[in-house]
Amino acid sequence: MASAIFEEPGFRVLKQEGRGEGTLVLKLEGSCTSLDFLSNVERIEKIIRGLPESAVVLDVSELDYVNSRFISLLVLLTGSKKRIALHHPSRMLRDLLAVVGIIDWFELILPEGPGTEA
Amino acid sequence: MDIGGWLGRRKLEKLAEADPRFEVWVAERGLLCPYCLKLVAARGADAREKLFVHIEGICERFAEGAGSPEPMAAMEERRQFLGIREALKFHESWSITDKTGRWYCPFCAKPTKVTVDPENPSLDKLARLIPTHLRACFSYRSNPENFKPAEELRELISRLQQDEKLAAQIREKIEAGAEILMQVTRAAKWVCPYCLVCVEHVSLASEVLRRFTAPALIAKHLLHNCEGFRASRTTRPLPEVKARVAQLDGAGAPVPAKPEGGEDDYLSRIRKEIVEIRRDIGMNDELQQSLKKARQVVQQMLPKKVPVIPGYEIALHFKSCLDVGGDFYDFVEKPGGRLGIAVGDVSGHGLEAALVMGMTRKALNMRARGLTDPLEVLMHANSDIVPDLETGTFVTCFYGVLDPARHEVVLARAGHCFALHYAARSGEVRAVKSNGIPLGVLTGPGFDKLLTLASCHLEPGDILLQYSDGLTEAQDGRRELYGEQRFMDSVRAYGRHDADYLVNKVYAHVQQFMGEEPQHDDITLIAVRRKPA
Repeated sequence: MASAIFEEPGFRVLKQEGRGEGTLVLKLEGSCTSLDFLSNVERIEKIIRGLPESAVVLDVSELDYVNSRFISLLVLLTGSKKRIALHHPSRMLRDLLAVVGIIDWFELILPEGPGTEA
Repeated sequence: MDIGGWLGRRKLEKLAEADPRFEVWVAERGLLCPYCLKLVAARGADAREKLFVHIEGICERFAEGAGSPEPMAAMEERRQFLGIREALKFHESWSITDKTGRWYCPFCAKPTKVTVDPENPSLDKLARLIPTHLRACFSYRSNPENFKPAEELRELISRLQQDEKLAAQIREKIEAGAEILMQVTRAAKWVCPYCLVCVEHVSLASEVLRRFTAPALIAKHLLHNCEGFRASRTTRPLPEVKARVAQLDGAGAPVPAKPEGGEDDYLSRIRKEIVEIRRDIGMNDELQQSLKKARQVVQQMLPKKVPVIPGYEIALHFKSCLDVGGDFYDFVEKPGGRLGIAVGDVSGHGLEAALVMGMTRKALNMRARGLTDPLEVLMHANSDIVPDLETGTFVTCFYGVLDPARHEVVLARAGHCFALHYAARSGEVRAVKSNGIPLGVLTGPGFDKLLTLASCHLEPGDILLQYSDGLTEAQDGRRELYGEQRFMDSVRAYGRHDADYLVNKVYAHVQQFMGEEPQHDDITLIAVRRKPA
């Protein structure tokens, strides 16, 4: 079961139930190029910052078109002192984080098995 | 119980009161002995008493109080192992494998790298392998108690296999260029040829998306959301799909999802995003502060280990100067045992230099993987990064390929320091000269024409050295530069030794020269030595 803490037609953030102690799992779905994301980055950041958990796993496996605005969101979230993990980041996202030099700021949970690497 | 036994028990009870290691339960089946890590089976209130009886009477590791309990981490690991073994014995969903023996995780329902030998299925072996998956399993980490019942798991696996099978067929068709499956709107959104719906989250805009992401998403759409696919497994005629795309675009012809150059396209997307990130950072103080750290992280990401090439010694010395330096280096392992070696230096400083450094390293690495000729690598890398450089920013760079079979290094140099060759037989050191201007100064033929190739044959004991100007421009208290002559003298003096010894001695010599003066720039030194016969 999951409940939306942010939901617009082109982008939503779902809070996953059954999380471990102190850790929150948020699933981000949609496209980072959609207006629903672009015009709400600050709002999404505030919502996530305001959550009490000290560790956040962002499931980005179904996130499309990661871009600079999404990178900015990630950087700002690390400023919240929360530990941020990225679940199944795409190669594009990993390369962008590496080029900007912040890949070490996140715990990366990578997919297993052949054919699942995106 | 005699008085000695009674006293021993009191001591043990007192010890256990303050130590959580005496309270480690294994799936409600009993307590784990903190000394020998064996499971003492018992339930409820008796468990503690049985544990004490075991410790005092049977446990060899307790050794009448002389032994000490194992660390909590070891106990946790043992508890997980025993817990998994229990689950494997008693819960069907923990023992589901496919025909090839791949074990399916009862939490995420996905096939894992854990395999079971059907000839010799061993519970212990399986229980030891499963934690490697669970450590990375998102579903397990979210809730370690919530594994799926066997029936639900089998259904999920069957659905997943169906999805995977269809995704593989779609990937094949896309790779074969099936036009009907590649109709997208101007906004690069995929239009389903079965239901004619524009599926927003499916994009075919790049090679990566076409090969890895889109097939699975299309399969998911067809199997779970598509009315058209459910009703009939026949696509609509191509003109009808194209007309739908045109309609979605408002007017005009549809935009086919034509492959746009693979890695080039990928790199250009990264470039575009970097420009945007730079703009975002300029507008946001918090981002600026956060990313100041990023430059240091970029340097920390440089390879820490040198590659191992049979018959050769490779040594590296990199000393970063965190304020203004912009050095980077990279090793690219190539087919046939060859090795690409890059050393570069970005002008400018701060975050700008960090972004350019990261970008240049990525571009060089990608080009070096795909191309053999060092000239071509540098030419393409130049075209890749020129649009991203602000006026006045440039990158000097060396790129060479060591061919250990021919004992030859072919190299090119874009405004970077000359490589040095130490000849073991004569003990002489010479510069390996080639021409070229830094990356980012000129684009196209202007850059390409000025670039020349050089090569260097390595006899047994010979060394090729590449370095950055931070080494030759190190200053002493009188502002005198260390210079090339001192560097060459140093190489001559230590060239007979192995590569590690040489680079350490050269750097020690530079430090000695600098005395109390601070290091003003990064220093990079790489030595490639052919082992003596």
